[in-house]
Amino acid sequence: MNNRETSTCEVLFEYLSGEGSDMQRKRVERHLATCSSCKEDAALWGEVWDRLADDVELIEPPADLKEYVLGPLMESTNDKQIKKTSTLRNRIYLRWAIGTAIVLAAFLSGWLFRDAQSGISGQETSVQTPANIETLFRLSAVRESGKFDDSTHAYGVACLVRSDNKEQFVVYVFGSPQTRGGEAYQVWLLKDGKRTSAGTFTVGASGIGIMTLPLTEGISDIDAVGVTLEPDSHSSSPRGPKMFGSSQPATSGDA
Amino acid sequence: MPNHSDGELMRQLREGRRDALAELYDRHVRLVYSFAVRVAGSESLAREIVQLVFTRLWATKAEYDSSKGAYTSWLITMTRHISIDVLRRERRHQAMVPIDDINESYGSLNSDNPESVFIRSDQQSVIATASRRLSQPQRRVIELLYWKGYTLNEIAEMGGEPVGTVKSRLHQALKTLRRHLQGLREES
Ligand SMILES: [Zn+2]
Repeated sequence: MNNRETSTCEVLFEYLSGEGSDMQRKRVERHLATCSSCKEDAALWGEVWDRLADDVELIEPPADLKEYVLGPLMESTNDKQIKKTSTLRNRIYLRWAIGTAIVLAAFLSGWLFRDAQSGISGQETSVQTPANIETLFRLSAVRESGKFDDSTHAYGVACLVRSDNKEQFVVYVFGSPQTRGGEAYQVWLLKDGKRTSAGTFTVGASGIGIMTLPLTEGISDIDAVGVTLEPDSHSSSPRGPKMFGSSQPATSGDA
Repeated sequence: MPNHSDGELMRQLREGRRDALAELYDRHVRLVYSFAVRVAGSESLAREIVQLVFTRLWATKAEYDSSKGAYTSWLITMTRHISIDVLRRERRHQAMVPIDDINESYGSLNSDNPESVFIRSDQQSVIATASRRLSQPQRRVIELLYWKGYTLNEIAEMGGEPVGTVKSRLHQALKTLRRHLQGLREES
């Protein structure tokens, strides 16, 4: 069944499953226009792949899930945090209950802490205090990085998710280039001109990246959030290009 | 509100209408949650995924283009990406789960949660029937690639075999699934 002689035919499945570098992906796209065998396989993939999701046994979600998920989103609207982009841009103050030094410490011990907590919450499903979510910053792609040439819809958002026994700082990015090898996106918090790392994350072929930073308490305001693309996840200060930055109140138009 | 299409609700969502978000939640949370449980295998992670999905819908006003397919497909694609990102994050912070455990955990939530209500949709029985035609190794490739978000290379490494072997197994699995999906559709 296989007359796949060229190397491009051989990486079709990597392409279809979303792997491969941008260059490889472009090569496969060009190749697909002319190779009937790959075209056939891509059609096969398309017919089956999305149907795989059907293999889900529908389960009733826990009764408290709605309040857990929607409660904070509904509340945040009352805080006028999310209502309008223009409002948001003028209101980008992040209230931390802790100093940035502790943020860093929380990051370093964060996953341990988080795992311990999810163990607990897994057992106690009866009482879940709804979290409170604030959208703190909209993150715009820094097009000057030259990394977004293929992506017209790159953006991000930074939220603070709060419930009575835990706080998490969550950063999402969308439409962002996939990380290769040891590369990592790194989130930086700026306060009074000082920059602190809040953690790293990777981005898959989907272009989506998520960083969750569990916090114990919070204290100070953050002036801005930046995201850089680093060669590895061990940067103590940015070495790679800036990929996303929080919109500045003064330049609410497109900079 | 109940008469509005999902696309219309998404437009209202972008205008900041909370009732639209609540309606979309009511319509689709069961699917999103069930999918998240299937991928993550735990209730606490599934809760987090559902929260991330709806937070994304709300906070970023994600754009849905109805000309490009059904809303549920779009939502599931997004849910899958977020679920797999969460799963990969968990994997980075935990020892790698041995491959045998993955097979055992598959479907085990059932027995842990006797109170859970399972509803089999027609589509599910179709794909489940088709999947039964696959060999165990073929099922494993699909499980690891689609449901657990491993790359083809990672799957090859886990099995200690060339990536080409994994790909031709996947190819066979897809062909078998298509054949049976077509056949079953014609029967019904
Ligand atoms: Zn080809």
